[in-house]
Amino acid sequence: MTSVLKPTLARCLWTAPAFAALAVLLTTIARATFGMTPVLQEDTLLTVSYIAGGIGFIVGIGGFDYWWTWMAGGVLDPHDHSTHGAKSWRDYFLFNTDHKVIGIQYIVFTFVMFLVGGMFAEVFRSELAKPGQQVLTNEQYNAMISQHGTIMIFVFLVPIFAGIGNYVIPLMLGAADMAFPRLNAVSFWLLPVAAFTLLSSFAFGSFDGGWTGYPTLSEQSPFGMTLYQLGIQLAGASSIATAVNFLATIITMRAPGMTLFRMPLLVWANLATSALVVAATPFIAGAQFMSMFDREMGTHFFTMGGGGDTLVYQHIFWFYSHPAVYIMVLPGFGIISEVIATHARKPVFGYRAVAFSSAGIAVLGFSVWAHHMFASGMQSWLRVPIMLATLLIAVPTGIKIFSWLGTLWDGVIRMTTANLFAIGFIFTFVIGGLSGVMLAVIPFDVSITNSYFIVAHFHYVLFGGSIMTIYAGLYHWYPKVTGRMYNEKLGRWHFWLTFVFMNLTFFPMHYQGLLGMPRRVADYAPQFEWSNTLISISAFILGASTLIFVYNLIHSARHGKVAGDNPWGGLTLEWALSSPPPTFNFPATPRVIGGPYRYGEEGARHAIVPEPEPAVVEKTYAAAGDQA
Amino acid sequence: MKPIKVLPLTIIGTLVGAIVSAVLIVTVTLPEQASVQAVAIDNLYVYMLGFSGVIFGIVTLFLIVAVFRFRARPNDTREGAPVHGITWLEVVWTIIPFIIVTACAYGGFVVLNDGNVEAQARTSGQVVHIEAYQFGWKYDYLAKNVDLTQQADLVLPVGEAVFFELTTKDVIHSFWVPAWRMQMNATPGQVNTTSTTPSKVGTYEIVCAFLCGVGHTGMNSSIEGSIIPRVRVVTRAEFDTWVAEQKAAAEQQGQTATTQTTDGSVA
Amino acid sequence: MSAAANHAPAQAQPYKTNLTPEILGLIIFLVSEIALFGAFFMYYTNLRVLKGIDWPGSFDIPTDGTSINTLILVASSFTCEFALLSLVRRKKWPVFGWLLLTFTLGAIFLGLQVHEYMTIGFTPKDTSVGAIFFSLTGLHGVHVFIGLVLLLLGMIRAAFGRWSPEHHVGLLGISIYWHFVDIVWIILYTVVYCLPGVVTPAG
Ligand code: HEA
Ligand code: HEA
Ligand code: CUA
Ligand SMILES: [Cu+2]
Repeated sequence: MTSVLKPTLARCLWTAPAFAALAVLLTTIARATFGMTPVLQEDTLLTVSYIAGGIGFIVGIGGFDYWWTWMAGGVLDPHDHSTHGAKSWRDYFLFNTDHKVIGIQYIVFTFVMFLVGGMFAEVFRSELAKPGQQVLTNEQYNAMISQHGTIMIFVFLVPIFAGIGNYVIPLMLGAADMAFPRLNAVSFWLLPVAAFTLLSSFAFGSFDGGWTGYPTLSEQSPFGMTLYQLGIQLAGASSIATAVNFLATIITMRAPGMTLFRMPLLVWANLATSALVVAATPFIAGAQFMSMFDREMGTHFFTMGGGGDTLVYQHIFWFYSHPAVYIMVLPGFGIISEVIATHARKPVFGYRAVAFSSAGIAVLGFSVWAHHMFASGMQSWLRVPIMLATLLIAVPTGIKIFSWLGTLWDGVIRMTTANLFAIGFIFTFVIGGLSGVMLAVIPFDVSITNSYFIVAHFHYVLFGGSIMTIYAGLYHWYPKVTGRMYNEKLGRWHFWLTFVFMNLTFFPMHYQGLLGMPRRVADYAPQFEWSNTLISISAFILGASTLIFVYNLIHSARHGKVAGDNPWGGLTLEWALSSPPPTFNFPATPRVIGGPYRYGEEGARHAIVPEPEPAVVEKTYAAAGDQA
Repeated sequence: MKPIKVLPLTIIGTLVGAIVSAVLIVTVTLPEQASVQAVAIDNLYVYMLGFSGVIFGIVTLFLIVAVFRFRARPNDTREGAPVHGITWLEVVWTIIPFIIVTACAYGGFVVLNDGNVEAQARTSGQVVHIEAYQFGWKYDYLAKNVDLTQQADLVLPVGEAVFFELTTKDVIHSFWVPAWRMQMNATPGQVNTTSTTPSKVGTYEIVCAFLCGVGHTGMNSSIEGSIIPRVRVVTRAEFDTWVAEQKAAAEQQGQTATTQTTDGSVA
Repeated sequence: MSAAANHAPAQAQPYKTNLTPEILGLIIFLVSEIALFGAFFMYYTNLRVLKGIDWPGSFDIPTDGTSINTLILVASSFTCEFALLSLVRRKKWPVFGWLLLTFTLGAIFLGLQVHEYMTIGFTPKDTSVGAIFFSLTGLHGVHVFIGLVLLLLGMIRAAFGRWSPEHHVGLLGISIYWHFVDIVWIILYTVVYCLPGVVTPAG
């Protein structure tokens, strides 16, 4: 049985428990020596074993194997590509440093999490279908919505964009891989740990504070709440590591000739997003650390006694979580630029304006966090400046929307499923954005905050915004990734069902909010009955429509039409490669000679990819990061 | 095919959007406007929904026209026009939204300040102290005259400014009276204030809008069978008699400070 | 797939830049570290400056001992730099020696910090100010500890003679990290120990 020693999931089966056991042992010894009572404290032991078990998992899967040599003073072999590339489906369950493999690992894993999060939504929607309480108790209801929001945001939406970026960005830049392939793999493998931590909280009373986990409610919760705090830290660490990787890749690994203004807009969007992640994510880590200390160590950061201040949690939390909503949508904006330009056969209208507006949104995004706190009793002088900044964000976002319209105008629009989703996205995102603008206005916000109007707003921007862009992107790059075409007919069914029932699910929520239905409740006044029934039925159909998508992708991967290298006639670099791309991407360094969207120009090219020169091959390859 | 004129299309979009907004404004009957502030806030809402509808109308009309007009036929290998941008147009669509949001901010600011009767209410109005707890509300007002914490519904005179001081015993709750368009959190460790001027006699629902634990769902007077109190707005005369009754009742009990909470338990 | 696909092909030289990806990555990572400290400073500012809450029980922060400790840490930043400078001599033991000195200074700093914790007279559980004091300095302490581990690794590699004037990205990284830890301490020391903190008196 060598497989328990080689870096596989089988090895994790013993490393994770071993690390956890070691941590428990050390903690117990420490507690005994310092005379802490009781020596065996259940919550503490569980906490340390989750942390150590997580590390043990990363060790087991092989996250540190390469570095042991370095740490022990040995010499690394930068030409060691033993963990690069996948030959069979089994390789997707191993520690792999190929950005394309990691991209697929990310996308598949996070999409499964989307289904799980969506399942939770279906469960609590069935509770809400009728007034009175039938399916769930109050505790279960609160646990369900909290899991739904947390899973969707931290282990689905934020990381799936990292997955798409992982696959596409190095290809677009003409690079062989990301700057730090091993770090990249570690960031992926942190996610299953985070997801396990969050989902396993059901065994410990779950967490019931919503996805925001505000104290002082979080202090009353069972141990599951600590797992929420841990899970967020893990997902956050993963997302910071990826962002560092993206930034280093985008800044240092561009092919010759790829100036900043020749980068595809997806790359621009990810540049802005990664900057946001690096600067903002540590804030939620800070908030969760403090909150966890309060729960596990008896400190008084946010408790009512001992001079704590719960309001600061909200400030720190939203200082991350508002920028986070742009983390969750900017990469999507990038995808839309790619999809629309390619399928409408036109250059992106106002390339620079679109690129700069991403940066503008990223910068402004830091000055608006307190719009989530208009009714919290915060410092009142903060309210008006925050309102102004929030409203201003509509301007750069509007530039993007109008530029996409400009791109479509006078194009030759091919109504592929990818493009349908891109166009549907504009429609639904504008609704969500406009309700956001309404919410930014203090007196109106204060009159309906924490109602279903907010739920409507954020599902329009999250589902109608981000999810639509994800679908657009997945359909768009599907032929590149698998080498086969998806089934357009099923794609169309998927689009129309999603689009129609998405609107039927989330539009009536505006109405409910205006009429006084608060959010996060398992029961409601009789006047909301018909609208809730409508919403629940639509939500079920919406969920079912996802299955068409899943079926389409799985089925077409084997039985779809062979796609060829460039089915859409895209100009960016990934389309210059075979489908799927070779293990080390480019046979030789491409040379970029023009902008990425020169559609409609006779004979225009973005880059030249030379034929391989086998003689030089073996010696010069080194993905940056290997020599360190 | 004739080229499409952009300006007429914008105008049609504006009209379509305006109609959409108008339909929404007419069909969605908001809760009764039971405070002076509610009128201003609803006007703000109508104004914002108005321009939102117009923006939405323009965007979707262009989207739909583009899709139908510039759609590729089967086996169409043409390419679009190699236009990379039109500067004046980009400037226009930066400036117009800027103006709209500035107007929006101005509107919000005006309503905020006019709704802000706080200073005045604090001195001349009724001061109501509300303590939220898991899971109910406890009122304490007219403190100088009499302890009124034992009553269930919150009784207030119509047309007079009320000043609320909100505190909480445990976790965050939020005091929301949709008919007043007023909401304020009760945040642990601090006193939050807000104010309103009830303008209509009647009984209105009180909703706890903030997730506060297992009983959050039930902390809403509009749910069937709820024991959570409502607000009862009455005329000044009725209010005076009511206060007198309360005073008498309190004296009878010898001012003993047994505080009955709204869920029936005795604190 | 071309025949050469399974071999490593000629690779792009990184786009013209003086920063290696490793050092750039490290600097970006340190930005996120600053943000993490930022979260705690945000809490600190709110509590001490905006709300004017003072240390538990009219307690005085021990500035004298800490000043000496600050000097020790600052000195270690210089010794760390000397380790890099001594690389030019192409001998392994000077590098090792300077690293060892840096490590020792860092360890003394950490020891004195722990000593301060024991004698300070309040605990993390004493009010929110206690909590933020210990978590700010403790977070920094954790960083010092990580820095010490890195220095140790640097020493191991120095002992094997792995650092050379041409190949020392790792050592450069370690020294940048150590300087970072130092700079954070200087800010922390200024804000927490030197500035009065309380602007408006409590109450
Ligand atoms: C992808 C996620 C995402 C995105 C992109 C946004 C975008 C915006 N959001 Fe949203 N928001 C959330 C996710 C998101 N939000 C979530 C999850 C919550 C709830 C959290 C919780 O409490 O659980 C929330 C809550 C929330 C609140 C708090 C409500 C409350 O709790 O009381 C507010 C208030 O200001 C707000 C405002 C905005 C604004 C102004 C934008 C703007 O960026 C929108 C800009 C876009 C447009 C305006 C449309 C396109 C523009 C044009 C066509 C140009 C012309 C337009 C004008 C002139 C107006 N959001
Ligand atoms: C990306 C983010 C995202 C997405 C995609 C969704 C998707 C959905 N959300 Fe989500 N929602 C949030 C983020 C999101 N939500 C957040 C952050 C909150 C706030 C939480 C809080 O209050 O703290 C929230 C809260 C929230 C509420 C308010 C709860 C309350 O306040 O009481 C409601 C109510 O209807 C709701 C409904 C739905 C529905 C019906 C969907 C549908 O789109 C779901 C569609 C369903 C699927 C896609 C699943 C399909 C699955 C199958 C068909 C089975 C296959 C299964 C397996 C093999 C496992 N959500
Ligand atoms: Cu009280 Cu919700
Ligand atoms: Cu926000």
